[in-house]
Amino acid sequence: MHRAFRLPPLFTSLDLLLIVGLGALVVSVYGYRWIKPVPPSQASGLQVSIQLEEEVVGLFDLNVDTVFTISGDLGPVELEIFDGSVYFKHSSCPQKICEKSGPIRKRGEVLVCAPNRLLARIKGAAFSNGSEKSLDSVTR
Amino acid sequence: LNATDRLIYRIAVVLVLALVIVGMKFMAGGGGVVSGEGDDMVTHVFDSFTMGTILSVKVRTTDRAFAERAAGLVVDEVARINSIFDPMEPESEISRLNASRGNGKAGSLSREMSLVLSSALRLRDLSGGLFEPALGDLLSLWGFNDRSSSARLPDSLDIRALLDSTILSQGIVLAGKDSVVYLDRRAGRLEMGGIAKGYAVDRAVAVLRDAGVSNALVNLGGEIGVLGAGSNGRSWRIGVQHPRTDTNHLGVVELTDGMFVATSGDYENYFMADGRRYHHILNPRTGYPASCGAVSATVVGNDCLNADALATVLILLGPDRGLELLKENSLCGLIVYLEESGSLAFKATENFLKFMTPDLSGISIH
Repeated sequence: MHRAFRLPPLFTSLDLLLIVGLGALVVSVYGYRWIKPVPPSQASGLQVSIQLEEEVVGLFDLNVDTVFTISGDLGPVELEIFDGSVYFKHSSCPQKICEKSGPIRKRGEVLVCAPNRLLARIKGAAFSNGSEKSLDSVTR
Repeated sequence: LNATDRLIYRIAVVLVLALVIVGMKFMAGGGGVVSGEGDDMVTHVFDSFTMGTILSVKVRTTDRAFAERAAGLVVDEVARINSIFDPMEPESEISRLNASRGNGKAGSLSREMSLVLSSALRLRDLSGGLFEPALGDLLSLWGFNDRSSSARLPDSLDIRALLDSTILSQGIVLAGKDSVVYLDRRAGRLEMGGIAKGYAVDRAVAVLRDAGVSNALVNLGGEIGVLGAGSNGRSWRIGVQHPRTDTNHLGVVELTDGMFVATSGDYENYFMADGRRYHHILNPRTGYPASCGAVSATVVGNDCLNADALATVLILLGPDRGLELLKENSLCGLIVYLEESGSLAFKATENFLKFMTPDLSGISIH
């Protein structure tokens, strides 16, 4: 009489259910990212912080195209967020240096209108997993 | 297999799946810990306006109150230095010196004015007279230092007349171990914005060190000094501004404890007239903006006073003579310039490229 050779059962039906369940969880959480690439600014949740003197007077999402006006020391200053970047569109300052010094789009970058004492800084999360691409500061 | 083996297999499977999930999370780039939160170290940022620009102080510590006190000391120190070197402030030391031109008397200098002025005169000689600390009248003619109106193209006759009427810093004589100064009637009006900001950064970093700060960065209008390391735990990552495209950097300079970097360029303070770019770095011989082709220069060094002034000197000298000066004096720098074809090229000392991870795509190396 032959005895049929059978592999010992490693998994029960409950194990298989667990594996399928965890797989579904991974796909549901990350599948969307794999299908649709996320822009860098959106992936890192970048924002534009607007400061007048030392006071933060506004915080804007860098991914939402916006035009806004801040009242600076010398008068109104218009900034625009466009396509993941921000720049000084119009300024009431005499030299207009700020209008020539944008746009910025990376974390840590700063735009300044010194006569109006106005500052725009890009803020957002930095990653400590070795993929750190952001800057601590900019020399110009 | 018995029940124990099956249990071990099940645990192993679950662990493998968990590792796969963690791996995917990191690959997706969304799993990093917000910098500073993982090890309780946080970068505290303090911004204020002084010396006609922005002062940004970053202190990396677990104690916010300590960071705030340290940043306050820096703000006070830079304000104090501004009160010495601000030519628009009637009571500043530099204004008193300018007012004393031609009075026939020798005046005493504060220790700090002596240090900065003697350094400026040394750099003037090093640059063959191109770095000029007494160019205030010419800057005013162009409107580059005017806080109420925009810069403009002066009449060429006015420029010539001004240059003919002054001997600039040749009319400044230092004596008594640089503690006494005599200003000739024909001396130019002192304006040392091109070096005083660098000195202010040196002092700011010294104040932070004295206060016991281990990790900090000071950025005064683009002139930068650091202590310790930034969020990556190794260095502070500094982007070098691209002179023509604002959304890009020439590369990243990694500064470690006690290092400084300064940049000058034709791309911030300028105006266009008749299709030409007129920037604020003026050649004292011609009275017009430097036109040797250099559009941007960055210097890394052990102090910011010299780095700041040297970056300006490189713009005035141009790429060839600028690189010679860097090499002859064992300095560390980068010069970006326009070729005749209109494309950008750069020259750098070998030691500069050790500090910088370049992203010079589209820029020729020479």
